[in-house]
Amino acid sequence: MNIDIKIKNLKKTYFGKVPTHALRGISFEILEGEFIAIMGKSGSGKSTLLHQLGLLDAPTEGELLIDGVDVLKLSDHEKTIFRLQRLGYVFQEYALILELTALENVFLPAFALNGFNQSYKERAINILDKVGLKDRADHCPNELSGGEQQRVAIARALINNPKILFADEPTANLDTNSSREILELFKKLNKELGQTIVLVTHEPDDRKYVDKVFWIKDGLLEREEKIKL
Amino acid sequence: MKKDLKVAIFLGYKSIVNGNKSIMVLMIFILSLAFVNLIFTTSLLNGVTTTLDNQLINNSVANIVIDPQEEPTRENYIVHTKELRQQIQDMPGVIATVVHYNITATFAYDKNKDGQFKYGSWQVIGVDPEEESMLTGISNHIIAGSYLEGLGSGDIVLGSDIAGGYGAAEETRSLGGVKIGEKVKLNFGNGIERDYTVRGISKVKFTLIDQMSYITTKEAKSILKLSDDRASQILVKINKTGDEDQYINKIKELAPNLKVRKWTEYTSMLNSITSSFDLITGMISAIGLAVAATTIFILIYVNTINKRRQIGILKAIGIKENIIIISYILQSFFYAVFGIIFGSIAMFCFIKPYFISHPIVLPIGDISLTVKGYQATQGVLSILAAAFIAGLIPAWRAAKENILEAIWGV
Repeated sequence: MNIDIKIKNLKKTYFGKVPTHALRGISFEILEGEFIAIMGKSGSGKSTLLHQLGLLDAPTEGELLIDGVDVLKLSDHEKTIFRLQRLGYVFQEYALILELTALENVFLPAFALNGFNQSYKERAINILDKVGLKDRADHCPNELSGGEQQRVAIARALINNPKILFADEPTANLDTNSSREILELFKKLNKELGQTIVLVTHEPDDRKYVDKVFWIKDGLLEREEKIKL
Repeated sequence: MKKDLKVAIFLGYKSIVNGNKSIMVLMIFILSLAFVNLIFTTSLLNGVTTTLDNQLINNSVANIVIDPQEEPTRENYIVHTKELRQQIQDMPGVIATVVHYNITATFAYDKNKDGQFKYGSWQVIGVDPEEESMLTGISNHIIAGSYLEGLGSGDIVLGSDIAGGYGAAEETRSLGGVKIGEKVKLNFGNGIERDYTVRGISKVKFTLIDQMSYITTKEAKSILKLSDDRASQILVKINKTGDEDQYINKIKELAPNLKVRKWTEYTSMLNSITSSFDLITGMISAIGLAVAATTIFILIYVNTINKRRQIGILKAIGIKENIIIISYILQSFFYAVFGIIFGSIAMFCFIKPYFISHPIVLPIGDISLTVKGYQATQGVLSILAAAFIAGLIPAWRAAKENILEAIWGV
């Protein structure tokens, strides 16, 4: 199986008045089609790690290869295009564009990647259908519940068929039912589409959905846990 | 690039259509005010100088003034005016020429016919009534009685500030209310004294002109004891104001000894007023421009900075920086264009017509708004340029910002 993500000795230091070493040298590999959870206590560095993997931030030191590309050598512009073409990112706070409808939010990355095409619009509707929101396609984010907004965010992350889907505590703001639905949706995407998914969560129960857990503690990889189904 | 532009237009359009309507209305309203402010003050000051210019050209000295020789010896009259006028009138673009006879006289008026005279010293101009009406507009500004006719002597037209009783700027200096048909006594500098019947009162609402009186050429020549075609002054009207210099050069070739001046140079005081107003207009224009540009910049800057999170999200999902920046510039242009449109409607459909029907009354005439094309264009371009910069800088800064900091608003 191909390696989707390979990180080696990844470090991230925030240089404030007192430097904060959020990541202190993490190394691991994620294979194609794996559903990974990054877990740890609050402040352990798990979200910081995901930000580096999702190219939303740049590590201070280390190596990061995604889909065989040494992404740390890419310019900001190239990183933007790389994100658009190969990565999907789901934020904890949904991060939808408020002036766009659910359909337009989903459709936007495809529009930006390939220009306007009716087939992308249809694809966006299909994805919204998959996440159970076809009938809410024309609603703006402020007309949707938290769970619905998160499902729109997931649909948006999937529109360009990303190689890897990152999700940063996507269920943190949701009730139990919505959380379960979202995680089952991830599991379904992973199983049916072979989507590589990297999920940051602090809920121990979420382990049952994933193939492997990377436990992070104090900015270091504490252990790797394989989940047996 | 075309694809990026389409995405930028899509994002800009959606942001405007689905964004906060109150903010949009407020932005357009303030931009309209900024545009009106930019145009209004300069057009008001333009109105002053335009009125001044029109008064001088249309009611006083026309475009070009020819005075007698000053160097090497000062002469009182221009000689052979008939021949010179003919040569000038043959020049293409010259509408008319007239001769003036300028005499200063002391006026005396016995209002109550009790031997108690009121006196004042004013200028008397000898004019040919028919020719004069082709050049100046005095005959169209007779507010009582009628204008001079033919070559007849014994009649005089008084400026309203001489006659008094017509709302003169300096009413106390007037004769105190001369009526049509009454007699006034004029004592000329050469000792001649004559009585004249007041035939008409003229008022152009410009103090300098309303303090002049008019008699016929024949009468003026008899006072000055002139029997040939000599004259105090020749005035020339051309069909295109602004082309005076080329005619002045040609006239100087015909009569190199004469003093030939443009109307702007004729009255040094007015020339200095006009120059000062032009300077003030330029300064106010520049200040107005700076204020408008700053207002627009702050408004759009604050609006864009408030959307840092949205910009961060767009970057996070892979929208290119140039798309984001263009979309914000387009939004700025939208506000600016509609601000200009509504500002223009306010200016040209309401404010300007209001000032035409309710002009500001000043001692130089009725002041309305004069919007000069280049200044309006300058205003439009300035607003658009300010909008461009105001859209570009904050969007560029936000787009260059760290994605997470933009999203979290750190």
